[in-house]
Amino acid sequence: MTEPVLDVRNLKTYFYTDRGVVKAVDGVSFAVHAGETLGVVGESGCGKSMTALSIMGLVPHPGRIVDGEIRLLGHDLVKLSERELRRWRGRRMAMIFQDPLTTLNPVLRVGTQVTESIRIHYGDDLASSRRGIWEWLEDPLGRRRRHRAWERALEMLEKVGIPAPADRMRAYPHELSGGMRQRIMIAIALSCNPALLLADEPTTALDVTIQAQILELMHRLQQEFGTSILLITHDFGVVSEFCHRVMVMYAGKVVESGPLEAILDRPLHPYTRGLLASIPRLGDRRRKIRPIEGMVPELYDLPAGCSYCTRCPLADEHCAAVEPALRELGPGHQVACHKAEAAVEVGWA
Amino acid sequence: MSQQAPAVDRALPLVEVQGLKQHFPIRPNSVERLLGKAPRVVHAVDGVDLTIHRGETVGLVGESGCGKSTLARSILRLHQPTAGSVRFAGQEITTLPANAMRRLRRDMQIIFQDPFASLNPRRTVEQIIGLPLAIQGVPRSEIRERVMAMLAKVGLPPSALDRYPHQFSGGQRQRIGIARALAVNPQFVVADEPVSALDVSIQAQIINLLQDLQAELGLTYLFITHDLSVVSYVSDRIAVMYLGRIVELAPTEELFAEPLHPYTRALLSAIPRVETRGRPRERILLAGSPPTPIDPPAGCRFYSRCYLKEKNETCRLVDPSLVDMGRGHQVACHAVAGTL
Repeated sequence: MTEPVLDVRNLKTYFYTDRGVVKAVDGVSFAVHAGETLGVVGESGCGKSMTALSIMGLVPHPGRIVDGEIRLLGHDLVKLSERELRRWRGRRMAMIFQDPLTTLNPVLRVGTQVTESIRIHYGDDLASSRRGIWEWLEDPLGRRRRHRAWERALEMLEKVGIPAPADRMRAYPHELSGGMRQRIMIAIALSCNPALLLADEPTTALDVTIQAQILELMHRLQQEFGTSILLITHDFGVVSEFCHRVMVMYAGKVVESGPLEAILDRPLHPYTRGLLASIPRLGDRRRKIRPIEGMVPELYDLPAGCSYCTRCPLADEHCAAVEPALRELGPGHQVACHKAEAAVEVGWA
Repeated sequence: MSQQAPAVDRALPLVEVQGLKQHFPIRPNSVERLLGKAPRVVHAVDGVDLTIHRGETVGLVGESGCGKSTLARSILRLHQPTAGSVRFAGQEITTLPANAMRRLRRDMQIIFQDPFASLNPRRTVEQIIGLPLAIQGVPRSEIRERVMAMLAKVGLPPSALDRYPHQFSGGQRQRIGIARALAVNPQFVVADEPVSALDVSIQAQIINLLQDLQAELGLTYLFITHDLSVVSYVSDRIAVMYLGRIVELAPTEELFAEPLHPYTRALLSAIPRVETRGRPRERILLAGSPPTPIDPPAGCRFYSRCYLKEKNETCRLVDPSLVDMGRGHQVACHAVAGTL
């Protein structure tokens, strides 16, 4: 098997707060292969966004990565300096967020924002390798370079399906609809052809018909550019239509991961089963939904053993005392639960 | 007070809406005023007919900005409707004087989407749930007791009484909102996106709670959501809105088995489903986004995004009305109703 594009090992991102240490990401390991989409599922506060921000090197204060490796294309991002990281961000990895209105700068035109990363990253390349004295004499003020960036941005807007892209380049973000803004974000993210795209709930703020357009677009661009995608979502529907593999997180840890079919048809962890049982299926009123009782525990006050034991119907003293490790129970299918076999026998899903 | 479920006669309509319009004028800017231009108007709800029977749940779906919430608020007369009639239990309410309206509010309540914005952060839970009771003239000595009873009903501990909203999680806050709405024993409850702000596992808790309360108290719901999976689970009938109009109305099973309106079909096909078998499905991708409600098209409102081969000049120019196709299935489309 070829080397994965992204290989995260034992990542720990902790927040040092007044109320204690919040282990937002606590020993997470996973890999994303070339051209693959890995779905990260879990409820709010489970650490899915913080995992993505750790990869981007954008963990907010007072958090920091305390341990682990994040290998992107063979390089450990944790060891890079901020200066080096800045050359990687946007060029080899890019991120899109849930709300495009808060991530786009409201006082800059769309064109300025789309060309920014192209100018920065390709500008660097030209300066360092190919841009010799003759090229400088030909283009001393960098006007051609800026023009090339503009052309490339136009091409990207066309690729993401924005009508009249030349006009839209001069528009401000508030003049565009939510779906259009998210397309702009995707254009910015993919403009430097990154190897890895981190998408944090990219369609949650959008209506279903627009969501379908955006997912279709991401799928098409993935095929064209061969980008690997880490898709963070709480919507199993989106996962089921878009992802190759799924990773379920709970309270900062991976509780189950595996191929899409395995997770949806043979979920092993009680939490995954609970999540799947709690969502209504379209047009099926006979299948009663069953909520997970209780709430996600506070992250600075986790139980000693399995973090899910407070809500798990199968939990016993062993679960409360000993933390379960990830075990492989099927081809590529891992689960962190002492009772996984028992759960299968009980047969509730 | 008797805790018995009131006898429910499903045949009786509880809410009858006819030709309801809710327009909002836009304040003209200074240039427009100088030029003497007529003020522009947002046609948020533009001619809606809807009947809700006692004890049923009607789901109202549609994309953001289609007028779902405005319709619900106009039905409750939280906005004064521009035109049309709303009859509640046989009584016309759009012209009711304020004091009679206040008495009627006991019977019609609303649960809001955002459990963070809809609760006053400076009031205790007792004050929040007790306020509608006080307005309806319940003696102060009884309020605490009734609030306690409501808390038990929605699954909150009595210790919640003296706490403030910020001390609760999203799901618990939504329970407080439900308790506030149900405190005055309403017959009709509008639930405006009651679970959209919640995590899936909590969402299921709230849906089940709403259904249990409906069975116990004989409530009638108008359930607004953009999530078709949720609406298909809770509703007896579903109304699909597009740009201020109901374009299709049918019993839930019927709507999912045989959606008729091209918009409904696209909407249903756009929902990502949790299934591994039977993929890939046929997906109808709609181009563009809905037109603006400031200047809605003259004919069919869906014309600009319609993908039917049959569409023609009639669609562009003539406004289709809801036509009964049998089995309680109504649709507003020339091509489907055969009025091309």
